[in-house]
Amino acid sequence: MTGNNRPLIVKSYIMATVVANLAIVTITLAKLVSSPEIVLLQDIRQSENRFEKLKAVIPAHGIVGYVSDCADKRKARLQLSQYALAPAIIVPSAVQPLVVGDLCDGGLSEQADLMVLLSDFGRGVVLFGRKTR
Amino acid sequence: MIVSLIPAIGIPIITGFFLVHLALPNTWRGPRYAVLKWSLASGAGFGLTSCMYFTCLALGYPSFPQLLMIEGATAMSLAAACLMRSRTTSTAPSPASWNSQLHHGPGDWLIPAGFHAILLVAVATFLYRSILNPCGGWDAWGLWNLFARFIYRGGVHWKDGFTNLLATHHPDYPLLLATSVARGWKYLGKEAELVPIAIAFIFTFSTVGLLVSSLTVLKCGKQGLLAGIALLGTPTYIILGSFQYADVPLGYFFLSTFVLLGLQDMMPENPVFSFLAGIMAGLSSWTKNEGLLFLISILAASSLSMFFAGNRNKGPRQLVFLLLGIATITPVVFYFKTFIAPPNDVVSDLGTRALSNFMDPARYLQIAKSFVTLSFDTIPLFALVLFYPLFLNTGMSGCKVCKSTACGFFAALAFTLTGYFIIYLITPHDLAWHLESSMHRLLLQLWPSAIFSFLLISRFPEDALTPTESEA
Repeated sequence: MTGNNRPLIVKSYIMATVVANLAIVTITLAKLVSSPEIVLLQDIRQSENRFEKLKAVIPAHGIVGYVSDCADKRKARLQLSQYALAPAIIVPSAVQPLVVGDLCDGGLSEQADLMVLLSDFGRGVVLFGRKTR
Repeated sequence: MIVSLIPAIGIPIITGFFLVHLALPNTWRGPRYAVLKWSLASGAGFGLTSCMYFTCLALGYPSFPQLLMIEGATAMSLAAACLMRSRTTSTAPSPASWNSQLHHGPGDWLIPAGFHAILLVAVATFLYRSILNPCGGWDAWGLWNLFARFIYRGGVHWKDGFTNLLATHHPDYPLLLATSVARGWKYLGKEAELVPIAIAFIFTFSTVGLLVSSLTVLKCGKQGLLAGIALLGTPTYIILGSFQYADVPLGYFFLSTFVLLGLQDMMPENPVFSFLAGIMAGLSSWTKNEGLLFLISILAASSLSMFFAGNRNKGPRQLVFLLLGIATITPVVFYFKTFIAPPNDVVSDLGTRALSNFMDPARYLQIAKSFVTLSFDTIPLFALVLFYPLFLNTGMSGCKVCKSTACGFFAALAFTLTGYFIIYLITPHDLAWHLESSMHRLLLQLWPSAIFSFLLISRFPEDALTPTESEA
């Protein structure tokens, strides 16, 4: 590399890297059409709508239990319930005085003897109370 | 809603601007200083209003008029102080650039044009992603916006959510973002997704503005724009920003600490830069737990560079001002950590587990391997290619002061990285999961500061490749 050629080479080099950076960001933008987080947004919106009526019934402060028979995304469903129902604290337990049921198949055979159905809000959202013995 | 958003977003920025304007010399005028001031103002403003809102919460849940009155009074006091200062004539000079040998010539339009094109694409990317996904990523709705809901919806019971019953939502994490979002909702009178999106946008692009303007002031315009291209050309940075993750504001506070300490080294007579740097470092500890690690790192690095750089006359005074700045914010963090937050999942219950993890060489190897592979996944190869010419020839800047300053910054980055390494060593979680879920974000926290430090000691590629007199 001679001294005379250097500025031209450097400018070409800078141009190439600037264009490449622009291309990277543009490609990232183009990839967004099939972005997986759009599905997550639908989950959040759906969860907010499903729990809206229940939110008005449960106490705003305090601990509420949570049970689910859904096999898919169990942890995420619990977290989405918490997000929708805050400031109530939602814990994965069937022994609280009030328990939120997040149902997919309508079957909760394991905890059934602990709880009694108080309200059914539709779309798989129910509220249980603790069964008195 | 947009009209209500203006005071919610505007008051923090205006408050921050008055604070920054009050601290920095009033002879600093012109576009580059304006961008620098507004970039510093936005983060400082959101940080301060967040601390003020949290203090109000701790003293008793404030009503909206009370909050407006407190924030309005703060902004007006700072404005009055600025007005009083503007009447006195300042003799403080504008900082002399550390890069005296600028290379001008035809084709100089390339870098500004490239920067603006990438900026445009990045802004479009951010907005497009935010429209598609206004709730953000998991951290946004699972942590920050969830605790914002506890604060906003909870009224006087706002502390209820900070319990280990919600351990998966990390209730011990500091509250800068959560309180900022809750405060914005309070102004709007309802929970609007626009508030966290606006805050994320401001932090994402203030970081870019700060990086570009600070290097423009300290070095030259080309160097600043080159840094901007490198950061905006990191797609994961824009993605994390649009996810409303706290790693972007944290990276902003790391960078602003470095920038202010860099300005301090350039103008050593005025210790106000150290004070502001301390506030920014303190705000990093109010953003995420990693900020606490950064506080220790920056203090250790500043102390070391004070001794090794031979800056023993003004150094101790600057260190005291840095500590004073930190002490302005840390009482809020201390109160939250001591009286409200439950214990942290990683550092609580250490004992024998930590010791056995320390003695396990396989963990060291796994962390190091993950660090290397995720670095290349996170940081685009083109950013490294962009910097390659700086290594050529005598790529390092001849400036002695900026070398010692940047060495201090690299030491702080190295200490912080070492801290992250230790956290991974002692983590009670599955190591592979912990690395996979967080390391790329930790690297991005440091990425803007790493670009800044590197370009501070580098010559511009054109200058680095131009033959020196001895070569010719």
